[in-house]
Amino acid sequence: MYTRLSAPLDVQWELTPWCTYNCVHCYNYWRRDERPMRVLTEDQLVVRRKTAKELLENKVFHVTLTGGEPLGVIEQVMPELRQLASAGIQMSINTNLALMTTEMGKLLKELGIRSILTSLMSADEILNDEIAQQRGAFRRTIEGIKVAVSMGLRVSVNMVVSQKNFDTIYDTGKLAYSLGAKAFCATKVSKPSNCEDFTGFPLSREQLGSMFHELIRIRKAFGIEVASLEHYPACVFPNTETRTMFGNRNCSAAKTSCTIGFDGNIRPCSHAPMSYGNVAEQGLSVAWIGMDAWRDDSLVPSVCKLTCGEYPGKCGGGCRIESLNVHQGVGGSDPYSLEAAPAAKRAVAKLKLLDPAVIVQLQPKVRFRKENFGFIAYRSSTNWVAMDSTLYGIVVPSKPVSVTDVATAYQSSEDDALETLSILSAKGIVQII
Amino acid sequence: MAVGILRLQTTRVCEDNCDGEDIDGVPCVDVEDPPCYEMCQDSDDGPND
Repeated sequence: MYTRLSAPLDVQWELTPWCTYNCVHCYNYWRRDERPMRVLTEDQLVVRRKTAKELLENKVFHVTLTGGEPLGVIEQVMPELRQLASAGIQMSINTNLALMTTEMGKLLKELGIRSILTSLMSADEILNDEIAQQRGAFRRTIEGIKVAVSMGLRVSVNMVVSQKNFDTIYDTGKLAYSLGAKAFCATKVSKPSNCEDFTGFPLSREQLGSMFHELIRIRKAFGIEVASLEHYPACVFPNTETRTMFGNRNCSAAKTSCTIGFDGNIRPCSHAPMSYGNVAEQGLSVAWIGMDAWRDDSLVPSVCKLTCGEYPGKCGGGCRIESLNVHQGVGGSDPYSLEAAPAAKRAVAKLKLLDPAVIVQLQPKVRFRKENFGFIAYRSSTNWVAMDSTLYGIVVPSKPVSVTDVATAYQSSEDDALETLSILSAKGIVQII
Repeated sequence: MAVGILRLQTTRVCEDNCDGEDIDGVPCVDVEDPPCYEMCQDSDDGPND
């Protein structure tokens, strides 16, 4: 059903299981085991080296450094991260910023990292620290955000929203804005795979709708970019406005991304507990191929496939791990799904066509990867296109390209050729000269 | 219809979303999905860009 790419475009790399905090909602399934050590052992470093090698060999475009708390080990892993940066692999980092200093910021900048996704549970300090299960967590993260912002790093603040902090969404967004964050995200809590009793945490469907409305209220009040960092089933959105704003994420697990755990195990996504191989044994390619069940229809609930009408073009059928964690199996319904056609539509603008006389040229930062259908041209995790070899041959010489050039190569109409260049331009693959 | 650009079934068929559901704003081709737990990084002044 879904195209199997030769490798993921984006990988979440868990550098460490160790963390400064012990958040009650953390989806890291190992969290309730014995607390790990901060300093990586030689055996663990071997896994990091092998992971970097696999990322390079498989021509992964983008790596998100995560954990645990990645800043806790970043100095130990710098040799491997420098290798990735030297090869042109883009990196970003998910960190609670408790360990952020100007020295850490310099290391991040050395790696080309300009984007940080941090986590703040609440504008209420006491509540925040209760959720983090660490006194002083609020103060440390706030200070870390200030340091990062002062260094010109782009900080997005994510708030994992549960029953515990639901009432503080607006104030937390306001705080993020006041600290200089570029974006504020509110993402519903998910039941961790290893948690037997999660009573008192999950949002109701109505609260989830209210969370979306709170995000919109924050955007209108402060002008800050807002988002929710999960794939939600289309039927959960209460209206067109919320679906349009927050219905743009689909499940990317095994389609365009996967997670490499701190132990080298390769999983479809960071929430998923199941492994399809290890970087030090089978390698990334074998594990990636082994995830075919995530690419065919077999894990999608029949109600989504047969009766809703939105799958797969407009909805991916909800989160498979949410289903797994409420004991319906990985192929069951997302617990937030209404199992009915959505009431809200998703409004999306049409492509804006360029001037037919436009001349474009390849954007120098675009990277390519050969695939069995042609090439992937990659600018960022949301800006990439698949193209055939003919188009690759037109744009890659990095010479000026006109609508006529494309139309001649394909013996197509100039309207179709203009659409091609307009898409490439909108995705940042080419630039107008 | 564009030539040379392949409409892979990797996430959504974006073009399908455009039919009859248009608003002003972001071009259709900009709405592909970033992975879970990752913030979009595609603005002109954004990171790594």
